[in-house]
Amino acid sequence: MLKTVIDKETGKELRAQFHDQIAENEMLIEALRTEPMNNPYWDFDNEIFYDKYEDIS
Amino acid sequence: MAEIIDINVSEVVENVQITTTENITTVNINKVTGSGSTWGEIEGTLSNQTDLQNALNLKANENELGAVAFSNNYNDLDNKPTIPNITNLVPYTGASQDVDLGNNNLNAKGLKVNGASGSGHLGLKHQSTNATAGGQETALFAGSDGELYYKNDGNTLAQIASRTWVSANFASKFFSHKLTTPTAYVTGTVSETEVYRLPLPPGSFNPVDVLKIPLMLVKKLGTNGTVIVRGKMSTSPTMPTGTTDLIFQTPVAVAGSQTLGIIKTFFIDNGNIKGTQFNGTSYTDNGAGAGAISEKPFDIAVTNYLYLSVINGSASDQTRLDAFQLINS
Repeated sequence: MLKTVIDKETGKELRAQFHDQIAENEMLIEALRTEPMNNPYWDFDNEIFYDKYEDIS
Repeated sequence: MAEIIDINVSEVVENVQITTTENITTVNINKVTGSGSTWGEIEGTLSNQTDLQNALNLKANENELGAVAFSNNYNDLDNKPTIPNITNLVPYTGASQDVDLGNNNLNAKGLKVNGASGSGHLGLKHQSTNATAGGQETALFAGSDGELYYKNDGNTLAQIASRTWVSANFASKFFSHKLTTPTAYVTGTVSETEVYRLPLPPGSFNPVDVLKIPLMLVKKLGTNGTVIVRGKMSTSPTMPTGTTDLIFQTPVAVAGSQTLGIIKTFFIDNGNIKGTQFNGTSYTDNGAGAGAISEKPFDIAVTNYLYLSVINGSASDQTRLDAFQLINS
């Protein structure tokens, strides 16, 4: 089953994969992102993906 | 004490005289058969002593006996078998000197050259190139140059190895991995999705080597979506994010249903892996591209991981890895 891997502290989307092997700082969620984003993050509270605009200045 | 006299009398005995003391002598006269000789004595001719003659007939005469009957010495035995000199024989264990078979063959079920104290090798000396190999056989021999050659049952001569081990022409390690069963379709997401993870154990490659993806087939089904295919080489057991550890990626394929064919080649060069621009976009390596040759660290002594990923442009697209091979040469 395809799942999304996110950073469990920040919610940053890392990748999607078919297996359950992840690193210590990662977690699996069943939600799949269907909309293109430049910098996708997972909102733990609302359980949705959002595009995080980071200040590069 | 009364005196008792026993007289054994046979038919041939005559005139038996007896000296007695009045009233105190007892005389017993006993009739015996035969000659009446004293026990242990023989009277008459030997040929008449039937039982004795029969017993003597079973004995051997002195002149019929060999020397060993008198000396009890092994060396006096006649017709002794020839006992080989064991110093010329090959012992099963505990040989104390080299074994020389001369111009003869050694036939065995198997041959192990284990050696001791750090030794143990099979040495071949060049004689000629006339080594022959029978059906389903391979003959190994040393060439006049000291290199290792072989002939198979087709008598094809080929060199196996060179003393010049730094030469990249003779790879001592062979690696090949094939995927012929398609992976599952990636669909329902536009996230970069890992479709294949290939561990590369330590020692899989030579310090100088060539790493090839001779052909990689990616199948995409969809309408107007796009797809990008990536390859990453990393020591991390989980796929790096984005373009971290990237070694190749394809252009964006925008058509509906498509088949992508990808051919890539890399060089392993003493601690680095290099190829055409890792962050460029190309299906193959042939052709010119702007930018320098890409290079990143690659340690053959540790476990590396090759990751293949796809990025669907539309969540409704379906993309999968159909076939893949990674080899060195």
